[in-house]
Amino acid sequence: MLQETAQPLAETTTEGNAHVELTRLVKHFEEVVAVDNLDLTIERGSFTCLLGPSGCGKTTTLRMISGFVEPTGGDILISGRSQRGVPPHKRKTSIVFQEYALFPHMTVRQNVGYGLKVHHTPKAERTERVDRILEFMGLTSMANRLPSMLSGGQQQRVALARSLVMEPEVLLMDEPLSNLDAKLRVRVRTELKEIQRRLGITTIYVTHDQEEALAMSDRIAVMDEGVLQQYGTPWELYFNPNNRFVADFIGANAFVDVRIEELTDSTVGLAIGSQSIELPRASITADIENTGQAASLSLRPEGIGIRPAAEHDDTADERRTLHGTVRMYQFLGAYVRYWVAVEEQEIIVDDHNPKRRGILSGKVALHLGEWEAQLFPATG
Amino acid sequence: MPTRSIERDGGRRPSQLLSPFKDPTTITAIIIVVVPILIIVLYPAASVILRPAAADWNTFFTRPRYLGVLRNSLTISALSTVSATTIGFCFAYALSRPNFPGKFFFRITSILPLVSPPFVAGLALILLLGRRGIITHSILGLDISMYGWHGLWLAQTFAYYPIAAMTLSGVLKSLNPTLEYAAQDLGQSRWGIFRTVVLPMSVPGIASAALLVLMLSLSDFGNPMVIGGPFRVMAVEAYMQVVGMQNLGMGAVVSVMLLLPSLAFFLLQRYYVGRRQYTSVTGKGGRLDPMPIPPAAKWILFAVLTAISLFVVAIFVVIVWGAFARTWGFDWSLTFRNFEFTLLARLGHIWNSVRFSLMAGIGTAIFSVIAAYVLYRRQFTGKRAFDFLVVLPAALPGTLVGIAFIFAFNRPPLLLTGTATIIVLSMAVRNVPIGYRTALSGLHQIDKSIEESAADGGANTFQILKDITLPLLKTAFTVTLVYTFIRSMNTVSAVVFLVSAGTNVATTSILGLAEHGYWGEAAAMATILIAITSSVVILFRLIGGKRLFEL
Ligand SMILES: Nc1ncnc2c1ncn2[C@@H]1O[C@H](COP(=O)(O)OP(=O)(O)OP(=O)(O)O)[C@@H](O)[C@H]1O
Ligand SMILES: [Mg+2]
Repeated sequence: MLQETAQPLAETTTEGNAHVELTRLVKHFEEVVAVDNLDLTIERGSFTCLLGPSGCGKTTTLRMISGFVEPTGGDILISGRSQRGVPPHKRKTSIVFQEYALFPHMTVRQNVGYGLKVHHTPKAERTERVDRILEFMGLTSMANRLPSMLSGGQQQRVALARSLVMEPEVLLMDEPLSNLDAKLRVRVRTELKEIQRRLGITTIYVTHDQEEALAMSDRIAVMDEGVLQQYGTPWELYFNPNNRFVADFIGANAFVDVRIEELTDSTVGLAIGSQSIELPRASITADIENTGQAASLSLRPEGIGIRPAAEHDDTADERRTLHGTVRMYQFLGAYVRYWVAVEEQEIIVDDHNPKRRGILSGKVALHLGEWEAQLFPATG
Repeated sequence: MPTRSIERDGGRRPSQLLSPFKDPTTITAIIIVVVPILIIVLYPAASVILRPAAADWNTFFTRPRYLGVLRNSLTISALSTVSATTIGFCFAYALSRPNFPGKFFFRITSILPLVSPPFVAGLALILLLGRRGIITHSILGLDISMYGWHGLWLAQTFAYYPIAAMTLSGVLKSLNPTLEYAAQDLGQSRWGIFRTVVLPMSVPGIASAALLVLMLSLSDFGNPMVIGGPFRVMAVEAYMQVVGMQNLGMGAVVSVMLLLPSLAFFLLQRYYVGRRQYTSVTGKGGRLDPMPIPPAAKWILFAVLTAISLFVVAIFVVIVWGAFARTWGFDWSLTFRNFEFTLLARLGHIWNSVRFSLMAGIGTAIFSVIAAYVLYRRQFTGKRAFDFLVVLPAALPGTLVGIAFIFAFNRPPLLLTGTATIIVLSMAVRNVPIGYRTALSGLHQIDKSIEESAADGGANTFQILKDITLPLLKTAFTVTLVYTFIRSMNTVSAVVFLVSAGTNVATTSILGLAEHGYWGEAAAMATILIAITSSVVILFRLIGGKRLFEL
């Protein structure tokens, strides 16, 4: 997505209209706490990702919304109505499974028409709706094939068509792209997002791929070990992570141990070994009150300028500059990624204009951008 | 036991396809595998097929009696197949669900019949429901006869439903539960899910299980002998012709006519049904637990399975009880007399059974592992034909094997009639297909493990041999050995033609006793036989062997 301004675009789709609400949702599997006190409000028509590492409880959450898994505590509201005790087929949700779960003994048309048939939709209407969705999904030409005769991407579309034809209020998807290869994944996710946008259907999408989440979502709920870490627009998550976990999980970055030297109303002074720098006070997220306190500075590789130490002049703002030595680099085409040692710590820096100076080595000066640094309390 | 064969695509490395006559190691390998097969399968089969004179064939097709026997055979095996497969499906389905009560009990009652001779069902039915049966005579005061098609049907149903259950259990377990949840999500009811998803997807497996039961019940000899009475089937007819009337030509005709349908079912199973299994292509991803059975269906199924299992329990109780009862139906006082008689006069038969079965087990295991290794590794033209040769004995009814061995091995240099060798060979040959498949699936796993370890950056060749190849082949070897041992202990249809005074075995001995109405002694001997085989199964499991029977 292209951003003209520093304002997130996502604001345009939120209408302040809650569709799915999770309230203090809890799920225990014997000892394991899969989901812990999850509160989440999902807007009507929005595309929401549940994002987090493996085992964080995303699938469990999705299955509780669909009704396959009974919550241990808390409630799920859809359009304000509690779903407690409502079986999956009575909910206005439809789920697309990670493994598609197409019926192998039915053709594409039979698969897509299955739900309508179950609901005793009259034959004429059924044919019409199935035809329309097949057309919409570009599956018309393979309507009479068995799923085993389709490619992964096509199977994925059939699974989606089978859900969409039911005209659910809420579409649930569990890592629907994880069985596709990398190239296809990017293409299908664009298609998926486009379909969702055209239909305006509330969608909850589980993934552990942060890039996928950033690219598709209106809002992202980042989870770890069953606990919600942050819920916000991709923009907020990327530039204003709530905590170290979110900062670490989304985007590449380096954490540097620092000590707070000075706190004013507008700035914060930091010491990294024998060097010191100054950042806007707004970089501080929480819990930092005292000078002398140890903290952890998160730096995005793209937010740091790099140049040879020799070119560094005093006109540059010394309070935003760190001095270090290039330890390693990778040439990645569009940019060069450097690992720079600063006072025995490592900072990752991307040079997005490698042709300007060629590959750097030896001593360099790093210039910190205005906003791309975040300060978190030090962890043990 | 894996029941489906795992086949490698023959043309994996087309560039290395060799004519078998250009590569010395290939020739050697083929000789090691093929020559024994030619001698103990093809040559005997050919001698029985070529034996009858035109007149014998003519007799068979013109006398209504013989065609009647053929019709009997086909009818009763069809009936038994339907009932055994249905019951087997109920067991397999119930046991594949997480919330079904009493699984352990149901597993035991479906494994027991697998480790005992099929004809104990017939034997027990007579003791339970026969003219002097404990239920019919002593409790209900009826005077009915179990002899005939209805008794045989019941006996075969109980003898073969566990096989169906075992085959289907593999099929039902491999169904991806997510499909059922997908159907539920689309609004389908529980019964609808069963009808539109579970059942249609099980059809190939059901067909496969049914064909297996069909082949077994068609060639069943023990049950018709014990309980068939006037209802004559082909296996018994062949036996009567050869042993009773010394009419070898007619015996050959009957056994060939038994072979034809059996072969047809075998080919159907191998080339049609076997290729139609729905393999659910699933990626990774958290599988859902199998969907529980809804309460109503659960309790109905539970009642049905309990009734059947209690009947199975009754079968084995009555055999043991019969072994201790003084005179069944008249004098219920307990005695060791039957065992004393058995041990005095017929201990040798039991010992023969153990001895021969053990030899057959070792022989089958060695041959199967070698055959699998040779045929799996090497690529050569005609490989498919060799592969077919090795599994072919699965299609041969025991009766045919017995008669064929008489014809083939009755003159020098292959004069084996009356020896232990011929019995051991007949036991071994019928288990080679199963041993071969077990070894193949072992080798298949080896390939997978090697691919994995290579992907991991890798073990060296010696480590692979030591850590993967040998253990997996050892497993295939021991499983084949034990499995062949148990099947050989219980086999009767082939050996009944081959035993002589000195080489009689337990099963044929029991049949002889039953034939003459010595129920007590027959039951005592059956009890000993079952005790031996079940101890072997339990022992094998206890020392950490692979499960022989997966349910
Ligand atoms: N049926 C179950 N029984 C027991 N524990 C379970 C069950 N399902 C999930 N869990 C546990 O709950 C936790 C959350 O699992 P969940 O499947 O929701 O994770 P996830 O975020 O979807 O992970 P992934 O990205 O690997 O799919 C894990 O620790 C998992 O082991
Ligand atoms: Mg998951």
